[in-house]
Amino acid sequence: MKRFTMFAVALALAAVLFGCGGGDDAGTDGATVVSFWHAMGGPLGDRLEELVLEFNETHADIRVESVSMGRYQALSQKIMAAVAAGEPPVLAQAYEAWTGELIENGSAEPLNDYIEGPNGLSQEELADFVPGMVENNTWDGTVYSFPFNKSVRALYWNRDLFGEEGLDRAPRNWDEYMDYARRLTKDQDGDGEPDQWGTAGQISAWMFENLLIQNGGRILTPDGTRAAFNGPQGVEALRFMVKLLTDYGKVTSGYEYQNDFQAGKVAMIEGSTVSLSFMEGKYTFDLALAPLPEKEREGCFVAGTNVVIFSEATDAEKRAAWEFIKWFVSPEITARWAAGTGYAPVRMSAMQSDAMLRRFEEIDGLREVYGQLEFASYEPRSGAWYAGRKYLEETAVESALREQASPEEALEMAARAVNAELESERRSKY
Amino acid sequence: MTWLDRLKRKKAMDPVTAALYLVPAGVIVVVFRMVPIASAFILSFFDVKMGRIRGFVGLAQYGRLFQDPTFWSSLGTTSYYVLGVVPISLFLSLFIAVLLNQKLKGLGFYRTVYFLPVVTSLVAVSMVWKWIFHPRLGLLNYFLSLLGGGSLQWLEEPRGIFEMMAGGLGWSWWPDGLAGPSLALVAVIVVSIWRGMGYNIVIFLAGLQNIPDQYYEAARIDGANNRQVFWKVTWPLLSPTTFYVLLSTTIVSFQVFTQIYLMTGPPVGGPMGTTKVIVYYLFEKGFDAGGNMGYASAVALILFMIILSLTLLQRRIVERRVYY
Amino acid sequence: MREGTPRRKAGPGAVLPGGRETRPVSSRDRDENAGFRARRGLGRAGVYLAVWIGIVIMIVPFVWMISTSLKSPIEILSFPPTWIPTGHYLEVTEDQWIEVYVVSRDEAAGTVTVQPVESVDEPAGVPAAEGEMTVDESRVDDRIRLRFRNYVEAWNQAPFARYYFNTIFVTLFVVAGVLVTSSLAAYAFARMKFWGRDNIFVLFLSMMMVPQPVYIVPSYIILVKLGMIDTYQALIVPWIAHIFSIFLLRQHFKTIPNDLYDAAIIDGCSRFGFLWRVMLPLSKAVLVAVVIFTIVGTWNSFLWPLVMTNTPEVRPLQVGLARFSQEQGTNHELMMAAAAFSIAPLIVAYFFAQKQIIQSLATSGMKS
Repeated sequence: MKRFTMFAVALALAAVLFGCGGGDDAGTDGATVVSFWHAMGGPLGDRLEELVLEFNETHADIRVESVSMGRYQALSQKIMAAVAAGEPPVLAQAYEAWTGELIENGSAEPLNDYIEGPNGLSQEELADFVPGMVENNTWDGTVYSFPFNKSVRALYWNRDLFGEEGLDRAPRNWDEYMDYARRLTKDQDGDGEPDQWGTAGQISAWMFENLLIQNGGRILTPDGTRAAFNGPQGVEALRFMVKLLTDYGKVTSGYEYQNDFQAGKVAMIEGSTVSLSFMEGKYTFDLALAPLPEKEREGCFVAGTNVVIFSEATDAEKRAAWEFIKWFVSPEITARWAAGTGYAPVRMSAMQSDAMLRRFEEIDGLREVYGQLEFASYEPRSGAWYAGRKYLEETAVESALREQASPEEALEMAARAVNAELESERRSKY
Repeated sequence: MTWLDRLKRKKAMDPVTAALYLVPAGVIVVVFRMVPIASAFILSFFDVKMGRIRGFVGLAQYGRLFQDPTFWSSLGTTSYYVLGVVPISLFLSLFIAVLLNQKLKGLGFYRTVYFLPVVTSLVAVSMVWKWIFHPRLGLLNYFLSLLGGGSLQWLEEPRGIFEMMAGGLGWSWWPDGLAGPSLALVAVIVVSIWRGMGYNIVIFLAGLQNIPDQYYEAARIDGANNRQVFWKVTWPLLSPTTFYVLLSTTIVSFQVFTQIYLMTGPPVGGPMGTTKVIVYYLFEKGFDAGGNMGYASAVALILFMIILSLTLLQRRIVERRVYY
Repeated sequence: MREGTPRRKAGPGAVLPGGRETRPVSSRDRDENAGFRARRGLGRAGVYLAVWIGIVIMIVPFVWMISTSLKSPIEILSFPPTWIPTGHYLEVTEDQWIEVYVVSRDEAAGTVTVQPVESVDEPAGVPAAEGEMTVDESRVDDRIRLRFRNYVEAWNQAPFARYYFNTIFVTLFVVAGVLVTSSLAAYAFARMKFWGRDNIFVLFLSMMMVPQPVYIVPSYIILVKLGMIDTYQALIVPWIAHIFSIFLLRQHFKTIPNDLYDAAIIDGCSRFGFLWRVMLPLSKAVLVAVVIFTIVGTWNSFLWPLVMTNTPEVRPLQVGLARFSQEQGTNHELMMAAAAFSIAPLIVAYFFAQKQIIQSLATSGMKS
């Protein structure tokens, strides 16, 4: 009997457990709840959480509930599953390629009505956005997303180590880049192995893409139907990258190369401006930033995601989500977000804000690095490129850096795979 | 109605009663297993992007699949993994079990320790081993340096181990096709064996202890030596256990995912994609933005067929040899 | 020493009337000469050696995990690594020691270049020296220094207490559910005759061959439709039916003789009564195995909760741990500390119950 009682208790507990729970979508205080899925973790997640809190405090009728998925891969998976189930969040970070897929699904909310509406953005305000950023979120004249966390690539250099070699500025072009890296690679204890490296890096398509564009190349052909990165400019860019990183630097997995830079074992590295928030307080030398060295031209690709509103949300939720976006991309908030994380401000006027000016004081060269935004490029937005980019990284850059294939072969292999992706996308559309 | 009638009626259970007993488990299995699995398979005939069905494509995904080099290479990687884990794990655990069965002092202690990894989570195990395999600060490279060897890249090494061994012997050329699994994959294999061995040992030990002593005595009286005793007595009598271990290890190995997901990368899938096993490949293809769930489902169906036919094949082959 | 003669306990041959205890004078001993015995001794040593090599391989990762988890962030960077976490201390004034990093050692000159560690747990009032300095070797003392602080730090960097609670809560319910559903279903499969019984059973079994990533998206959709995403239900309900457990119990139930059933029915026992009062008590070992499989499986499950939960309120320990390790990047000492306290409960439980666990797993393995 005793056993039966326990069984009954367990059943009752289960009933309680499964009976309650479930949805309480409307806030108890009547505020509109905006679920916001993002991928920010670590210090970035903390900054974002602070801002969301601040927004909620200043907007009594809206409550943004942010959920961190930890990383982009997890975020995209959750978005996909949620869209499939017909219950996406109200708001989410998204790469352009995801937005493109969402548009095709009818899941991305067009934002033109919000921009032009009473609570919209004026022409001056729109003109204040960093050139190219809004355009990059526009599909056939319709704006579907807004720039949220955008970053550019910078050259981080160690003034102390440069000084020992009599250098007082960062390299400005490829020749100097290679030359400085060579001079800064030193074998101090004479064991035949350098103890100090000129540079270091990870297997990154981003670095290659930047070199490619500096060298006058393109990722895809202008009509976007075929790979173009395997042209002569691309081969030269990859050859440069391999020589730089294998002769005068080392390739590490993940972000270990940043640790080596922080430890003063590497004289300069390339990295996203966001790396600043991860390096904060972890180095003791005189750190400076500089724009990427140029070749045929200056060039850099913007990385990072935008935010989209999902069509499945209710009108009230969409309006509230728009309110949040508008607030977040306002000059003051984007400046504070940028100053706190290293992401680029999305508004030109934000560069003149107190928060940014203080930041420019603190970090030598940061202003010039953000200056790259004026001529920055954006990656192709198609889903096929998003899938194909993996090949550029894993087939081309990785096999060349690991010296498994020559740069020509590596790029050729990757181009074939990317073309196949593009081809299958085209076929599935018609 | 006599008691005999009642007994007969009760023995011939009616479907309604049976259904009552089956309902709790059945509902869950149908809703959370059967339906999802069936729909996954059905999706393999559709084009599914970012969670939406875009159109019926018939067998087109299967056609694409067979021309997809990554599919074939992930299948190859999985085969390497299975061929690495199953025989070695089987051999080692049987070996240890036979040793432990020799009336050792402190058997309980040994058994406990061998079983320890089984109860630890794969997440923690992956973290610890990733740290052990660390190319610069890892324990394994330290041991190698004690033995006078150079350090290896372990989880970041895309080169095949046979190719590396050939290189170690000073051969500068080695055929590409025979490069073997990458060292990175071998590292994952090692971890999988390490973690799974304890369970197999326990099962083998139980099997060994179930072999009646008279058989051994009889063999000894006939003058059999240790080796003969093993092959003539232990091995045949242990065959049901061996079959069970073989089958379960094979099935689990074909499904390997978490270790790859947690231990390799970034990017996940290892250096040069050499640890991209098939389940990870389908996960990535189907679940990432820019991917196609229908395509991933096609991969899944093929994988299911492979596992199923291997299981049946094993059963066929082994059944003739197993002495029940 | 009962451990040493396990063969006697199990197996049908164990209870040979009389014969066993007289066995010491066996054919083997009679035939053996002195040389053979010596070889046997050697063989015995070989057996122990092989077993111990295995033991070391099994245990080293755990030792290394604990060792790393007690080191300072500086010490984990040292190569060759240390097994016992060691701190270097510099005597600043009489009996005033501060912890320092050793930057380099000059063996010839007998000096060490050190840099003070700024850490919060140093006694107050110690003059913090700036920058590197080179001092005489004798002023630097090495002491074992176990940084238990790492555990506190790791614990506080993520809501691990919550994760723990979630995992325990979910595990309890899953175990209870699995016991109920599996016994009932196994009983039906083993004892009842109904149309398609064996086919249904095989269909159940075949589903074990489908890897989880295959059906996780459709499952997600179903959970959304049921309003279960990001709730405990998502982690409990789909897992309270466990095919392997049904299989184990069915195999065991089949071994219980029919006569017993007939007798019980004649005594007026109901079908459920027979299950409850006869079958289950006779299946204790298998039930324990089911409980263990379920606990270990639930505690350690990863992909499912990763996909099905979003917020820390319901996030279980393993997912929390994986995220923690992603965010830590290179703080290996904190990662190892977190790994250690995440596996501790199961390991402790295992130590206490290891005998039953292993025995019941062994019986269950035989059954299948």
